[in-house]
Amino acid sequence: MFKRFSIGLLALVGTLRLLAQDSQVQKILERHEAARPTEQSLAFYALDWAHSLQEAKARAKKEGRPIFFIWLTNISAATSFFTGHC
Amino acid sequence: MRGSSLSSPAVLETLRPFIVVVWNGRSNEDMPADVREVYYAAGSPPNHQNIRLFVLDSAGKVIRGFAPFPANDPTSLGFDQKRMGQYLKGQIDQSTVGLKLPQVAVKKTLTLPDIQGTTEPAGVRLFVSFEDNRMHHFRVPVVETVVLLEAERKALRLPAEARTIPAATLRRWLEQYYPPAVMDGMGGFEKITGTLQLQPAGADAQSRYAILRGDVQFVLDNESATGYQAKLEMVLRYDRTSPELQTVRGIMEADFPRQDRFGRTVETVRMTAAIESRPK
Repeated sequence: MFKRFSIGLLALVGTLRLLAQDSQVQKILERHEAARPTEQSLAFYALDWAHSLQEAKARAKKEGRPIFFIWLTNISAATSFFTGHC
Repeated sequence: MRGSSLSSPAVLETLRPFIVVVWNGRSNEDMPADVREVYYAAGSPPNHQNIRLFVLDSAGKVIRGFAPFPANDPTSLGFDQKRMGQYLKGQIDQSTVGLKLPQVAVKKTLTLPDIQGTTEPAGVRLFVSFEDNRMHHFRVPVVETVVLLEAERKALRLPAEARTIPAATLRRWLEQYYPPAVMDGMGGFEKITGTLQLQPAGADAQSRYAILRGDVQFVLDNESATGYQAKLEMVLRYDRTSPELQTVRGIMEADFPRQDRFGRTVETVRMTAAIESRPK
């Protein structure tokens, strides 16, 4: 009787632990989703970006489009205007 | 500029016919030949100007170069997104007089930094977002990508039981977690330390899961060695039949102390990273 009770208790504890783990997984996934930026806050990436001036020139010629070229320097850091660490 | 004029609806619309490209370096000496050619074709720019804009026609000929602010002074428009956008739109309009601009449809997808690779996951992408601050430095999130290395895949294999891994194992990911506009740093870290707990976290019909969590301490390489502590939590997903990592979804949160050049904290900004594997 005691043995059966112990096995039952262990199974219940195991199930509860799994449920708790599942809920933790779900909670982190929900927090991740909430932390993803909105499309509106990423509107800068709606521009039609080329990866290099060379690529921009080749595309401009082919597509008959002008180029908007941003030039910047930052002495203190490894700047990346495109990613945002600038 | 990234979060102000370049994100203003009027400028986004004005730039729709354009192909947009950026070059950035530490100094003029870093310019490759094609960039140097454009830079000087528009005439000699004023001294001490670290941001300059150019309009080129479809043949690659420089039409005009200009600064994004009146009198090359970033404070002149009070960091007001609308005013900065109107000014930039005016400059672009002035540069395109006489140019025949093509009709270009609105882009349906965003061109975000991303990772290509043959092994899945190829890497991770971090969206680092910030609460608005006094100077509105952080209106557009930082979007960084990191290619996944074999050592990282190995460290993140499904554990049979809970174990710890040093935060330094994921240093290349964690190095992306700092705000823009840290003016006195080199964009690097003096230290990234901490211990992360990796533990199995159940299964469903298709997948098995693990959770990686812990506190990470950061010290920047700037003059005042700015320090902050983040809470990291990630869900790692695996197939039912293999311990190899399939996907990552996570979050990291910290209060970042923005400091002046004397090392005094002038404001604290909430910094949140959404971390996810790519391409899925």
